[in-house]
Amino acid sequence: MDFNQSFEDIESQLDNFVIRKNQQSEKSTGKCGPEVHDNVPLTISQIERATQDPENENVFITDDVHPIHFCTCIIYAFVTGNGTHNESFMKFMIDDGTGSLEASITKKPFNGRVISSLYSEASSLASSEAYKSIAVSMMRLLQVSMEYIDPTRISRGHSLFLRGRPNRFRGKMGLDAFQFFIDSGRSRNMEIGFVDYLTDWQRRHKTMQNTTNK
Amino acid sequence: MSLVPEASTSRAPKYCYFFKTLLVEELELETSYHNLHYGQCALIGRLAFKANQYRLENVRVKCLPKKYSLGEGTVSLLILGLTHDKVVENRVSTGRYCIVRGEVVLHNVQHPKGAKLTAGGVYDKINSLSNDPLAQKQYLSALLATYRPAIDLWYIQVIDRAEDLLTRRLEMRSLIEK
Repeated sequence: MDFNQSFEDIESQLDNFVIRKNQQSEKSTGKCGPEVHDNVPLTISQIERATQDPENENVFITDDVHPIHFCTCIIYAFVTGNGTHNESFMKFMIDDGTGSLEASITKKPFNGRVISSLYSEASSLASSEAYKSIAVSMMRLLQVSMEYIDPTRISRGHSLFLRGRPNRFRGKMGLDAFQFFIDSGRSRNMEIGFVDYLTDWQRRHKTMQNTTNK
Repeated sequence: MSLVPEASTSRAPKYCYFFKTLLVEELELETSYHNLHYGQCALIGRLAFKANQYRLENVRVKCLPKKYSLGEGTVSLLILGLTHDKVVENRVSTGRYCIVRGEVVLHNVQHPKGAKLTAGGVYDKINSLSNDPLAQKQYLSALLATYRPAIDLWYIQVIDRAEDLLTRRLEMRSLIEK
């Protein structure tokens, strides 16, 4: 198997991970009261409507009829413009067809430095014939991993998966994102997969709530 | 149903500040221009070049019953601001499926360089003529003869699985309209 094929395999595995991770990591913060979810797939309009739980500042509530209590969420959106970046965050205007808001994406400079130094280490190992093949694999893997932590690669016209939490600042709702994934190119498989997951999740949530309320 | 809106500011269209998913049919077939979408939108369709103009043709809406959905390419909407340079730069070409994001405008077909109108502007004008129903009707008839809906381009991207994506984006739209 050549290197390119190996990396396609790894990337497809990572893609699967992004989608499947949510179902496994849902958790409840307590046995009493409503279930509080993590990594909930939401639309931007639902984030815009979200309010902070008066009993727990880490919890947000969205939708009136079937309220969703959540700490963190996942969205899929198109980058329509740049905000004012600063030392720690890159800021982008994002839009998913239901609403628009500003997302702040953390730069994680420490992680970037760790990956850069590992890359240097791997490239020095590559000069030795005994380690060359593994070192080249490492270098390619580290290059790919930079795409997941370096938000300077994001630009207008990209589509993004973002994992984060709402943040209301000066009366305006935004999103503080901890993780991102750039989905560029003509394939819309990721967007279609996300909408299917979102609609399934929210349908199940409504059914669960209706069953509990009976 | 009256063509003329009631003189009330409560029904005045609000500018849409996000790229709401619309159908090409919803814009191209709308004849009450004060009811046209006001603001930004996202359209999925197939790029065509007809009579020296770039147009976006409709694609089939798979989630609708057959009798309510138009066949692909039945109607098309004028795209403003799309030049050959932009087509090359964005790696699009005629016959390809695209998602087009931009602002809905009314384009003067008799004087293409004339001022563009919007649904908000048309509504305000009709409202200002509320004491003269005849003038309102004349204004609307003149608009229908001179102006056609169009999309003023902001972004264009080639996509695949256009019909599937349109179905999903309409599902997302239904979540905000509930």
